[in-house]
Order: sequence, then C-alpha cells, then structure tokens
Amino acid sequence: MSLLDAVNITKRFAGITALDAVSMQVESGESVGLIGPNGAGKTTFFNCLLGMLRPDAGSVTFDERDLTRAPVYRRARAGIGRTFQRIELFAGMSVRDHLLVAERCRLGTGRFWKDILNLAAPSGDEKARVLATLELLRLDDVADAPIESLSLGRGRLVEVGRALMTEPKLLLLDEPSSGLDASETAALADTLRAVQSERGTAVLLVEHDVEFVRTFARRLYVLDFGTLIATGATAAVLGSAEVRKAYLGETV
Amino acid sequence: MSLALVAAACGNASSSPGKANKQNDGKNATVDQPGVTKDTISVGGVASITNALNAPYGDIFKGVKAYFAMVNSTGGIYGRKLEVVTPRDDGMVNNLKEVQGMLSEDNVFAAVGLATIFNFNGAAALSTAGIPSFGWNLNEEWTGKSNLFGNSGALCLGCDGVELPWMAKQLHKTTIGVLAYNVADSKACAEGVRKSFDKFKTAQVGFYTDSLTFGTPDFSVEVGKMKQAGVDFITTCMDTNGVLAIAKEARKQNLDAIQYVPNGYDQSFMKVNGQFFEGSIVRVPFVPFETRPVPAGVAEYLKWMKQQRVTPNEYTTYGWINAAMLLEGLKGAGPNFTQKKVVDALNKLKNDTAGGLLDGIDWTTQHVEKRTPEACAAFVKVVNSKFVPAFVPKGKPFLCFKRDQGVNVPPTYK
Amino acid sequence: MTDFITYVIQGIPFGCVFALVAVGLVLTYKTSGVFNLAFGAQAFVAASLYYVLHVRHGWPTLLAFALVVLVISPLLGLLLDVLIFRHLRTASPIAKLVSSLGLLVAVPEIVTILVLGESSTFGVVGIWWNDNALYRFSDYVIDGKEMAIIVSTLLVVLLLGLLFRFAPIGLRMRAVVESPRMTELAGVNADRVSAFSWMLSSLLAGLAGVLLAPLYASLAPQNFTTLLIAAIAAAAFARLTSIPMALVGGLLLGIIQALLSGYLPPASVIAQSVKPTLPFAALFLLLLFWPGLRSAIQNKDPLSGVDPPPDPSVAVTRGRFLTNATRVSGVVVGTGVLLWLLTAATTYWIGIATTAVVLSIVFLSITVITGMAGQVSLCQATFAGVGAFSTAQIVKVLGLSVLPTLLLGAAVAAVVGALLAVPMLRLGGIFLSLGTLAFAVMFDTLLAPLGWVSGGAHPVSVPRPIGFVDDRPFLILCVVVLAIVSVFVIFIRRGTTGRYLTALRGSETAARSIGINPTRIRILAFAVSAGIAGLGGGILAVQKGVAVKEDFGYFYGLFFVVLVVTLMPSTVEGAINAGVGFALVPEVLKLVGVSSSWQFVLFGLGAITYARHPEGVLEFQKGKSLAAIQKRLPARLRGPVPGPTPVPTGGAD
Repeated sequence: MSLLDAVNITKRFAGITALDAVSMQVESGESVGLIGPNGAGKTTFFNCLLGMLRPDAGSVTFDERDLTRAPVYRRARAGIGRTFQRIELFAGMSVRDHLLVAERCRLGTGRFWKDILNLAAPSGDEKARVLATLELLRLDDVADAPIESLSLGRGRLVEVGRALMTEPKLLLLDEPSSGLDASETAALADTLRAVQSERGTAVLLVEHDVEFVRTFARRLYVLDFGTLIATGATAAVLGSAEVRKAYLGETV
Repeated sequence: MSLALVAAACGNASSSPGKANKQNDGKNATVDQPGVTKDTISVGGVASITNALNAPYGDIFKGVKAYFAMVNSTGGIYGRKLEVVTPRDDGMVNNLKEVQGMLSEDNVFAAVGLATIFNFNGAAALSTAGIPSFGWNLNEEWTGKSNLFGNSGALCLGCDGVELPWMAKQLHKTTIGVLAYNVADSKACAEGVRKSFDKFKTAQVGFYTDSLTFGTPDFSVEVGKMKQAGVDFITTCMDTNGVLAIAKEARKQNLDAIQYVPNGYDQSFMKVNGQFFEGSIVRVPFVPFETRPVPAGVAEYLKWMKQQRVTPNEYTTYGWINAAMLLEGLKGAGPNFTQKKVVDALNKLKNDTAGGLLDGIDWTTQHVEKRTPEACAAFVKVVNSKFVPAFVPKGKPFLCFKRDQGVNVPPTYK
Repeated sequence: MTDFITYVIQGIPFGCVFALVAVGLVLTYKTSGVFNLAFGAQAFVAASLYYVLHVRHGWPTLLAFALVVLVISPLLGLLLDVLIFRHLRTASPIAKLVSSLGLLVAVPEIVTILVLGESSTFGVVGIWWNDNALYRFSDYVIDGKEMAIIVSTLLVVLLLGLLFRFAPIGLRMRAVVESPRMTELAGVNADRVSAFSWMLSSLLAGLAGVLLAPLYASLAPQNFTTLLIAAIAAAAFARLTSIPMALVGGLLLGIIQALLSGYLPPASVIAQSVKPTLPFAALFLLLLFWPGLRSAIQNKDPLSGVDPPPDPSVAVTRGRFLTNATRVSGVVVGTGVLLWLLTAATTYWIGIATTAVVLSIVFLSITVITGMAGQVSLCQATFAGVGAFSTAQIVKVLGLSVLPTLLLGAAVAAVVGALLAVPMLRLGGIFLSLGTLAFAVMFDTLLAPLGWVSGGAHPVSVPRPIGFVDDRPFLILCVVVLAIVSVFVIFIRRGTTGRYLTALRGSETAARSIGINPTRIRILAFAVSAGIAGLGGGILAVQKGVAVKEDFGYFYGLFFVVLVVTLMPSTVEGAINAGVGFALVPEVLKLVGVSSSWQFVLFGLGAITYARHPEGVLEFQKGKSLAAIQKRLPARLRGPVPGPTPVPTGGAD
C-alpha cells in the first residue's frame, strides 16, 4: 500500500466544484510534484490532505491509517510535515526554539506538571537532534538569532527544519520557491535533495517553478479546473500536449 | 407614653444644638485624643462619592459641614472648632481601604458622614478601632456594632410590619402590586412587604414580581398585568429609574394606582417628576421638611443649609443628623471627652433625636434589636409635585406603631 | 392571542432601541473591522450634551437635537476615526477591540467630570414635543418617548435604505461591507468610506443616546453600557454583517423580552433567572450555535484569533549590564519598600500594598491568557469572583481552614475556566472576547445574586488564616503567594506549554502543522489563568474579610484588561506593575487633588495605544529610554541591538 493514498477527493464551495474526485498516491521516499495553473485547485487539494479543509467526499489514508476526518495536528503526528507558501514562523522565537518546539511535540513528553516543576528544559538528546538538523540545513550559524533577523530563503529552511523535527514520512512543500531568487531556489533544491538522501523522507511538492519541479520531482500530477488531467513520470507529463496547453502554454 | 418619659429623662439630648457652646465657657480641658488639638476637633468620613448611578451620596459631607458651621459660629464645643478633614471616596467598594486610611492617615476623632451604597466592609475596622462613627444606615453591616450610630436603628429588610397594611386600609386600597429587581436587597424588601400583607390582611397582593432586570426600565408588561389584576397600590423596592419608569408606564396605560416609594424623598426629583406621582406616598426617615409648624430642629437645619448655599436633600440631612449625634455624644462625654466616653454617652441615650430630626433612637437596644417594641416613621404624600405630610396631625411628624399591635389599633403620633 | 399581540407591541419600542444600537455596531464592524464597545459611551456623550443644552440651558429641542445628534455626534465619530481607528486598519481585531474598550472606560468619566459636573441630572427630556403625550391605537397606548423611538427607527431604516441604494458613498460602503478586499482592489478610497461610516455610526449612537435618556430618571453611563452589551446579541444575530438582520435581531430581542415578562409567572425562579439574563444568554447561545456566525468566523476570518505577537520585551533585548542594573535596583527598591511596610507604615499603606500584591496575582492571570495565549478574556474578574465565593462558601459550610481552601477555590475557578473555554475556543478572536463578556454579565445577573453563591443580601465572611490575622503577617503571606505564582508563571512560560503558546500566537496554522493541538493547549491556558484569577480573588476576599459580589462585577473584568494591556500584558513584571498601578494611582490622584475617577480616563486612554504598542505603553517607554541609555553606555556594556524585521511572520495562508 502507498504511503499516502488520497482517493476521489471532492470539494465544493457554494456550488462550485473546486476539486472533482482527485486521487493521488505517494510512495515512501519518493518525490512527487503537483502542478497546475492558478485556481486549478492545488491549494484546496493540499488543504484537504492536511485537514485544513474537510472534503465533501473521498478519503485520505496515510501510512495505513484513515485520516479523512482527523484534525490537522493529528495528521502532523501521523507523519505529515509541511511548509507554507507564505512563510509561517513563530515570531519571538529563536531558530533553535522553532526546532525544539517541534521536537518536543513529536516526543509528546511535554507535561504540564513538568513545566511547573521547571523540568521542561530541553534534554541533551533533544538538543543533539536539533543541532543535527540545523547542521543538515546549514542553519547552525544562526541557531540563536531571533527569527525576525533571517532572510526569506533561510526562513523557508527553518520551516523545513521545523517540519523535519517531527520526523515526517511525507513532507509537503507549498510553493517553496516563491519569493526566492534563482540562486536561493537552487540552494534550496540542493538542500532538499540532501535531506531526502539522508532521511529518506517522501516529498510532495506544489510548485509554480517548472525548472524546480523538473529537477526535483520524479513523478507529476497535473490539476486543471479541479480535475486531474495528467499523471506520470515528470518528463513524460511535461512533454504531453494537453499539459502544455493547459498549463505551460500559459506560463511559458 | 413610655418613650415620652424616656425623652424627658434624657435631659438636653434633644435641645437645640445651637446652644452647644454654652456648656463650656471655661478653659479648654486637656484632651489627648486623635484629631483633637487645643482648638480643633477633626473628623473624617467615607461615602460613595463617585458611583455608577451618578447619585449625590457625597452630599452627606455638606450636611456635616453645615452642622459644624452652625456649632463653630457660636464658638464650637469645649472651645474647639469642628472640622471635616478629607472626605474619602468609597469609589468601587473600597470603603475598607478608605476607612483604614481615615483611621491611620487622617488623624480624626470621629467618623462623621459614612454613606456606602454597597457592602460596608469597613464597618468591622471602625468597630475594632472603637471610634465614634456616624452615617447613613443603609447596610446590614451597621448592625451590632456599639460604636456605629446610623440615622436609624438596626435594619431588617425582610421583616414584616404593620405600617403598609395600615396605610392601605386608610387609603382604601384593595390590591397591592409588589415590584423588585432580581437583586438581593430588593428581593428581601419585597419579601417583607408580602409578609406584612400576609399577616395583616387589609388588602391582597394582586401582582408580585422580583425578577425585574436592573438597568432596563421597560415595565410595560408588568404594568399591563397590574392593570388586569386591578392593582391600586404599587409598592416598589427599586431605584429612582425604576420608580419613575413604572409611574410613567402606569399613566400611559391608564392604571389608576398610587405608589408607595420607600426611598424617594428627593425634592429636586419630585419637582420635575411630580406629575407622575400625584397621590403617591413617600417614606421619610427623618422629620419631613414640610412639617408644619416647622419644628425647631428642622428650621435650624434649613437655615444653615441656606446659609451654606446647599440644596437640602436626603444625604445632606443624614450628614446633619450624623454631626448632631456627634455633638450629643461630646456633650454627654464632658470636657475631658474621649472617644470611648462619647460612645458610652450615646449608648446611654434612650431617645436620640439627633437635634430634633429623628423620632428618637434607643441606643441601649437598637444597635442589635431588629424588632423594637415600637417603630415610627414619617410619610409624605405628593400633592402638586410637592411633599405634604401624610397620616399625621399638625405638629406631629411621626406615625408610630407597636410591633405586636393589630392593624385596627390606631397609631400614636410623635 | 390578544395577550400575545399586546406583548409583541409592548416589546417594540425597546426592540427599536436594540435595533439602532445593533445597526451602529454592524456598520463600524463591517467597514473598519472595529467591534465598537464604546458605542454606549458615544450615546452617553450625546445624551449628556443634549441634557445640558436643552434642560440646563433651555435651548429649543430642535436646535439642541440638531447640534448634538446631527453635528457633534458625527464629528465625534470622525475624530475617533482620524485619531484612532484609521490607524488600526491593519491591527488585529483584538487590538481594535481593546482600543474601543479603552474608550468605553475613559469617555463616560470624561463626560461626567467635564460636562455633567456634580449637580443632579433629574428631569431628562426626550426629543418628542412632549414625552408624555399619549397616542392610542385601539387597545394600546404609546407615549411620546416611545413614539420618538419608533419614528426615529423607521426614519433610520428608510434613510439607510436610500443611502445604500442610491447615494454614491452608500454604494461604496455597501461594497466595503460585502467585500472589503474587492473594494480596495477597485480603488475605492477606504479612508473616506471609513470616515463616513464612523460618522454615520456615531450619529446613530447619538440618536440612540437622546432617545434612551428619557427612559431613565437620571443620566448614568451604566445605563448605556448595560444596554449596549444587551444589544450585542442583536448584532450577533446579524452575524455582525447584515444591517437588515441587525434591525430584525433588535426587534426580536425586545419582543422576546416582553413575551417572557408576559408569559413567565412573574415571581417564579425561572422568571428571576431567565428574564434578566436573556440578552446575555442569547448572545452566548448565538455565539455558540448560530450557524451564520460560525461560518462567518470560519470562512472569512480564520486567523482572527491570532494576535500579532509583541516585539521582544526590553528585558530580552537589553544587555546584561542593564539587566543586572535593573534587577539590582528593583530588588533594592522592593526590599526598601517592604522593610518600610513591615516596620513604619500605617495600616492604610499596608492595606494598599496588600491590595497591590493581591491584584498582581489576579493580573498574572491576564499575563497567562492575554500575554501568553494571545486571547482577550473579559471575564477574569468573574473568575476571581468564582474563586472568592468558592473559598468563602467552603470555609463557611465545610469549616475547612482557609489556606488549603484558597487552593480549592482556585481549582473551582480553573474548572469553570476550562468548561467555559471548551465552547468559547471554537470561536476565537473578538468572538471569544464577546463570549467571555456575555459570561461575565450572565454571572453578575444570574449567579452572583444567589444565596449559595455570594450569600445574597448577606455576603459570606472569610476569616484570615491563623497566624496571618494581623496586617503585616498577611502582607508577607500575600507576597509569598505572589512570588510562588510568579515563579509558576515563569516556569510555564519557559516550559513546553509556554513554547506551544508562543508558537500558536506566532502562527496557529504552522503550530498545528507540527502536531500542536491548539484546543487542548488553550483550554489548559484558560484553566491555568482562571485558576490564578480564582486564587487572587480568594485572597482578596480573605484580605477584606468578606467575599463581596461588587468586587467582581463585569466592569472590573473590562477594567482589568484595560489596566494590564496599558502597562505590560506579556510579562510577570507587567502584572506586578499593573497591580501597583491599580492600588497606587488613585492615591497619587488624591495627592494631586483630583478625583480618583481620572484613573479610568488615564488607563482607558492608555489602552487605546495598545494597538500601536501591544507590548504595553510602559514597555514602549522603557524601550525608548533603554535606547537612549544604551547610546550613552560604553559599547561593551550594550546589549544586542534588535535588528530590522525583514521576514514577515504569520499571516494568512
């Protein structure tokens, strides 16, 4: 069985069908792209996977568990990590703390009585794991800087690091290249590849930047007007006429 | 009349306070007491000066000051002038703090002018300090504290009484409407009215509610129901907002009933709203200013209010009464007065009229006694937007009932 | 049936008043995102000015009405928009709410002091030619002041209808009401629309003020405030968006009230509890169950609960040298004051110090719920009351000793807080604030008067614990409790709970995406906060020797929030500052020789600045002076200088 198995996801807003029976599978360790023109339903689909929206029909199975009706945080605990198109960081926290919070959350060891007795300080283990991830993402030099002082590109890496601390089996990246220049995008792609090779995390990428998708995703899904119009190996999909017409024709 | 005899025995307790200085034309005795210097006696007080109802409770100090002005104009007492230092504001139920402030900061001999509309939790501190204290007895915290002297004996909100049933009978009223807010004091008061009519069946309670919303003066439905029930005598346990709204609504719906207003003795209120209260009865906790011939005590009071350019109202009167009681206590204590002597002197009085404004309080029992053998009160009727003494013969402001007397026994007058 | 119709007719005048208020609330909420709690205060301004001009100075009705309602009221609205609310357009809904809360606290006091003065305000007159003229409609009679209300409401409906249908500015407003974003894109001048809607809403407030005033015997701000809170239910019925629905909601509220008066047995327990609580219970239930309102919250404003977090506090950004210097001087001053209190000070000053300490404990609950969890709860005073009443009753009934009972009282408050949080947290943002306000008023009218809660007419007394009967030992006890609670709060902040709450404030979506359960953690925060408030309330009752319901009225809940956010909402230091401020400012005002009412003006106006300085005015000033000091310090003593903020954090997805 696939790691992620979304079947016939359907979502309507005020009578308009935003998603019409869209299905998707992602295998462990694989990198998959989801593309489509503006308004195609990519974000809606993403939100249905993550539990931000509740689909009108269809089911989401992840790691052999039915998550169709599970709240966002439960999906996160089941092993779905994510980043955001518009960056979402925790103001007032250092970079290290971002990762520590996620680590504590994964462990689930934060108990209120420990807070009261001042026993909630990060353990050596926790610190070590956070440091390992910081080094992997080459963020160790800004570990204790306030989050507000980071550039956008590094902020996005913090998001990735934060998601990684939850040890996700699947990492959903929502337009990771938006707001980044070409060199930053390339660096991000490199880092993501490094992450994948080291941690074996599956990645589902929603992306506008075709180059980024081409170099990163092995398989693609293409959405248009709420329906899946193509799926398959990246090169094949990007070569198909229908996709070119619906999507690439518009952006290229 | 036993009380009259007591009054006679009490000597000059009710003599005109203006003559106070005559008792001490000699040298000032040395007195080592807080707030007392060679030539002054300082007092303080705490009142709900700022309050959400914007009511002039702080005027109690004007009454105190007027009385002091009168006493000082003839040389003060024991060669000392009386003065009010820092009237304190209860604000939002801060009277414990303010009482403590008065006791420890203001260096005062007595507390004169206490008017706290909510819980009077400063009472305990005054009691502990043993300082002579005088104020508007509005809260049950006044009860049982031998150095606290209110403008009346101990309160009993939910107790029955013969006054109202007797009054209903006199006025030929048959059906009573009782209205109260969903507020503890108001409810207890309504309960007392109901008990009175249960005991003395001169009229029946035709409409009873204690579920009114404080602050939403819409009584159209209640008045409609009273009309259906044939209510001709409305008794309320409410503030002026409620009383006025009911009166207006009654007129609107053509309900032919008068009101009994337990605390509405306010000339400035009636001057503008009297048209809605024609024939209504207002209870007055002291000698009404409208009593004719004007009793000496009232005349003196009104004269000094005028001299001080203060419009007299309920609260200025309490202040005057409070100050008068202090003077009685000082006189009783003698030139070597102490706080304790003042308290003890007052507690011997069996008919304290506070300079002729009260019916006479028996301080030997009335600190605690909730059911004195006899109860007196003054009533006025609203006629042409003015108050006119009601139910009493000329010259006798008070109507007195024995507690256990039946409703058919005529009252006595005082 | 005839009864029914009579009751319906009798409910209409008051229903119209509710309707006017609700329309005013909806107007400003929709065009500027401000839930204007100060509406009642604006009504009070107009009523007072009208009274002074018409009754005291004898101006003719029409002239006074025109000047007050048609000129001054809109100008006041314009002033509020230009001076305050225009600058808050990008602020969070909660910041806007707090600003209007500040006005609600400050404005009535200013008017009372400056306009009305000390003399009585009897003889309030309305705008009809004769308030008491009677108009007969078959069986039913309407008097002048009711006629004025009904006619004005009809006129308002008509004019608003025409305005929104035909006038260009009305069309633009309608566009803003329906879709603010679209209107911005279409290039409509938002400033003008916002100014106009504030003027219009303020005019309605003025109208409501002069219409309402003659229903009361005298002018008191409380009348207007209570009515405003009652009318919120009608606005909620309109989902805060629809003006016609606001009218319907107001009328319904008035009619239901009359029907309840008509059909419930007047002396029954159910009438006693249902009738006075109706508007607040209605608001509470609407917030929880009204589908339109909930979908409005979910779809249109998913992040309304997220308050932008404050800048890092001065304590974080200042250097070690300054931190130590501050701490040392703090300890020196604190010890000095304590020594003075324990040796030389009089009972009075010990009392004031004790109040400061006890209130600091209560205010720490706001540090937790507002400073850490980013939720504005308007019922912290009520939680304190729950703690106080529980403590008093348990001591009285079970005869337990006081110290352990205080903890029980706190536990009861914590449970109440948690139970309240479960439904309230589904709302979030200003709806949570309104819900807590409804709860506070419901507690005031429904539960607080009951004998088994507050003792009714006979408040329950609480003894001081053995060994702490005297004022000085008791003060020491309070200081110890404050220290323990402070440490408790600091540990929570540093601990997992604090980190989760910071994460939730920074970005709720991101926090959920790493597996934080926002509901669980916020319920915990509510329970902890309510527990702390309950403990403080219990100690307050012990200090006074009695648990008095007036100490915990809903107005205190509002004032507490105003006080704490004015100073420093997010730190323990801030709560202690607020406690000291609460106890000391009235004394300072007394020394200066002005009425202690000015404290409401002071803190009320202070709260308005919350939107600009969510870290608190005091904190902001400290930041400024810190910057000045650091400039003069040698470089090695300076702390890290906070950098610019290039990365946007949080925000809508």
